[in-house]
Amino acid sequence: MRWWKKNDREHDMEKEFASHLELEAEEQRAKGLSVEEARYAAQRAFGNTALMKEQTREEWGWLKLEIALKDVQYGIRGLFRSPIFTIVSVLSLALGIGATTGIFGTFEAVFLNAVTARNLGQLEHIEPGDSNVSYRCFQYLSSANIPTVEGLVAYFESGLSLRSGTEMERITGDIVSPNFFAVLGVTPAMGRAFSEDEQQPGRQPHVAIVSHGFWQRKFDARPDVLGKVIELNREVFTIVGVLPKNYRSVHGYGMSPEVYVPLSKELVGDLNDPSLGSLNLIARMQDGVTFSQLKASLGPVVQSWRQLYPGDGRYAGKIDVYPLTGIEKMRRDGIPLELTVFLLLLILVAVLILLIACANVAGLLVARGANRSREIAVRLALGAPRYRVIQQLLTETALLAFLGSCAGIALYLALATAAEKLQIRESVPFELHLHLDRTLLYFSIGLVALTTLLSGLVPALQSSRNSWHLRSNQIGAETHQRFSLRRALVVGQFALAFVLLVSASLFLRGLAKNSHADPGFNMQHLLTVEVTLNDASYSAYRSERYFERAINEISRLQGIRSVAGASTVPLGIEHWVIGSIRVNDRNVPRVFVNSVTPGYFQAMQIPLLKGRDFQADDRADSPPVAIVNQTFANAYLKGDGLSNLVYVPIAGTGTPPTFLPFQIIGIARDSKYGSLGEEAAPALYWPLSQHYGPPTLMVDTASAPASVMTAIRQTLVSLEPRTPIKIELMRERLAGALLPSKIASFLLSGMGTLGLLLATIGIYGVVAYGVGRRTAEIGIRMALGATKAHVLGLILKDAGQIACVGTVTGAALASFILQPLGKALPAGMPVVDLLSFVTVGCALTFVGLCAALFPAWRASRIDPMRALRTE
Amino acid sequence: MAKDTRQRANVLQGTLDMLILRTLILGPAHGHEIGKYIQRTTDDLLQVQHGSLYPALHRLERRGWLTAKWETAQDRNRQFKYYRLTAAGRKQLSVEESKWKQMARAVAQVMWPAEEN
Repeated sequence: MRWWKKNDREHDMEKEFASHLELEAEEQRAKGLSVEEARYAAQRAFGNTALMKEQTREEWGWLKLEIALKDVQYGIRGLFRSPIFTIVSVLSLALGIGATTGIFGTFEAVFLNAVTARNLGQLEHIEPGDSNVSYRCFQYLSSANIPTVEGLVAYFESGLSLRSGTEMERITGDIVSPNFFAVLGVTPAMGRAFSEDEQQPGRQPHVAIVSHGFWQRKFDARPDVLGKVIELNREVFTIVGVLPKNYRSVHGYGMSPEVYVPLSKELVGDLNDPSLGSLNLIARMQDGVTFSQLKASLGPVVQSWRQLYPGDGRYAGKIDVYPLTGIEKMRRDGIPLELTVFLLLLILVAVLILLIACANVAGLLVARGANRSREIAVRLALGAPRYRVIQQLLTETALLAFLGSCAGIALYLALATAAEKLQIRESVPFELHLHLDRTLLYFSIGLVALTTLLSGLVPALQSSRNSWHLRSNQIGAETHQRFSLRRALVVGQFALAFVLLVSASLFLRGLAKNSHADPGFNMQHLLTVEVTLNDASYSAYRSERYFERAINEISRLQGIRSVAGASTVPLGIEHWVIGSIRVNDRNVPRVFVNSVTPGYFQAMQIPLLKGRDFQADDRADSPPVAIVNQTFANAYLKGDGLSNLVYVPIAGTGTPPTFLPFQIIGIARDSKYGSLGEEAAPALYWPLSQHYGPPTLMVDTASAPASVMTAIRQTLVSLEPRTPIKIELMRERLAGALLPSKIASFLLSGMGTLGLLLATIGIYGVVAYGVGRRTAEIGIRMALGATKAHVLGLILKDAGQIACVGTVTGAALASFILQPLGKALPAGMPVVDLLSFVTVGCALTFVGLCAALFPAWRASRIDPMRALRTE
Repeated sequence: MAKDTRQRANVLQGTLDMLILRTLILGPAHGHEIGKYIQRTTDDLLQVQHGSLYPALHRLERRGWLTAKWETAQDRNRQFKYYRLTAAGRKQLSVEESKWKQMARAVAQVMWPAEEN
């Protein structure tokens, strides 16, 4: 027999039972019983018909599956019968799961495991005494055959000038050793990795591998891209491969260089120049080699390198090895603590939402279950085995969990797709490739399943624990239950919502404080001009002359007040910070540094409080001079500050390094350097001529900055055609810098609202349910003379209690959880801030009371007579 | 109530199967006849709830020890579902019988050790 023949069998059984009962009844009648009596007697002799049918069906086999299918059918019908319950539950779960996995996915993509490579655990960054090594050193290490190392690659990030038509565009690329992709274990999605014979640097023709994003952007994702040529730094490169779409570069943090080209003389200059080279090294360890073994085996090799080139002081430091991802890398890359804390906060928020969602669904399920206790009691009384009732309830909740999880995953996929499309073109293109974190997904789904199943079981357990449940459903049964699971759940929800809202408000206030902060320099009329000269054809000397001329020419244009150059733009993505400056026998732990040309303070409108500006005769060969800011002067300088000496360690002069004295010639007013929210920090400026690096030009315009942009561009092009030029308003640059925080605050406030909404639904459900249960009690109270106001008060008091207990719990929880965030907040902002705690507390209580208002109002309108009749 | 019924059925299950098979060795019979027969031959000592015969009958049928067919009764003009013993059913009956005998002997040895000698 097959299960689809079940209906026949069912019919057959009915017929069989009926014929049995008929026969028995006939016999009883023959004994002299009346028709009626005979039928009852037959029935008695037969036993519980429904149960016998059930037991007989069980014997048919297939039954478990049939029961399960039936339960699913029944469950679906049940969910359809209460659509609001279903929608709210599924949405809660979906938001919980989607938000948690999505946010964690982002965190993971940006920080944790953000590099595409085979066996990522085998790869380590190597720093043989210096963070950047020369090509010569790389070659030496490669050919040294270190037994622990399977392969060694070198790479460095570089700005490249890409020619598109007549324009030059500045793009970011990685210049890599040709074995780069082979050692990393990355296969291009199209084409090939660099081949063996491209191992020879400078081999013609040049080849390039491009990123998926570049292929889409520049070649419209055309399949015939292989073999096409691009012009980079005036050299022609043939495209031999396109990287996979979700390739995550070794830089991490979503940074995605657009092209990869092998090291060559044309791009980096003379490869054998020992002073030249800023290569980063990554080694792949042999199988089974540990981190410490690798580190130990590097020692002798680096030692012999030092003996080979004793004059090359660059590699005097400690040999360092660290993984490609994780906290250690983040620390070395100087990821600001704020960002990490913010993302941790987001994860906290997401987990809170998941918890609130679970509490919400649990509350709804428990309330619904209690409403069904009668149904369950009836079913048990009719002989349904307990396990069947439980099985059925579990099926129903499992269905709910399943729907919620599906919706959650769908939400996550939508988020991930949106994130893929997000392309932030900062100085390095930024792409997010979210991976669905399986562990987290399983965790959230597990949590959801556990919550729903447990809370779905409560009614079943309650009613089967007490087989007299039919009778326990009496007047006032609910009132004696001061503390129930449902109330506890809502209290928990309130507490979580409190933490959520307080952390969101904290962050929002921090942000507001940040964005209104005064940067301490001219913002309105300032333009930044970035010119990227070809590194290879422009020596430092030629570059310096070029910028001198550029500043000269631009300053002669109409509408320009002053022009200056600075190697670092304040409040940009890159900061130049050095430690271990010594002054008056004290160490300055952290100083913002900038190399600027004369006139910088004028262009930025930062007043000099004392002393003089740099002048044209502060040259590379004249005595080193520096200007410090007020904070620096107040903290470290003696006397009037001028004529103090600061000692700066010279990079690459070994340990301990040689210190070079700088004479302080001026003191400038404080401004912001790293971020708008930072506390006053010591800063030091020195002349660009004594510390040269290609500057960004800062142009102070008379009135409308936009009007002179074209003129500036023309001037620069006339000086050096085919050079990428980027002119921006300082205002807009800052707006861009504030964008992440804006997105973050949007996310946070959105999630805060979501949490609040979920909690409101929770309290509404519980109060409405409670009112339903107390209908009879309220009826009696009113029959005995209670006024409407009294009843209203009764219900609201109850809700108020829940809200208050929840708020107090939340406050305690928040002040504990949020402590670690203190460091990331702008100066002078306490974590436990009375105002925000009180505001959030009041708002939550208010919302709680509002949610209770409607059920309370309904309770006060109860007609006593009807209420009593319902029992 | 529900609990009661299940317990009794469980106690009887093994024995009930054997009794049914034994009853059917006399020829085909329908459920009511089987129930009556067991009740009568045990002098109403085994009070089988008639309904609980059916799960057992369907179980035995599924195992291939019985076949079932709706047939018109000889004495009246009505259809009943008649159960017949199959060859496998006969074999099973002897298995159960010998098991039961062993069991009965074992119980007897415990209960009346002296009489056995």
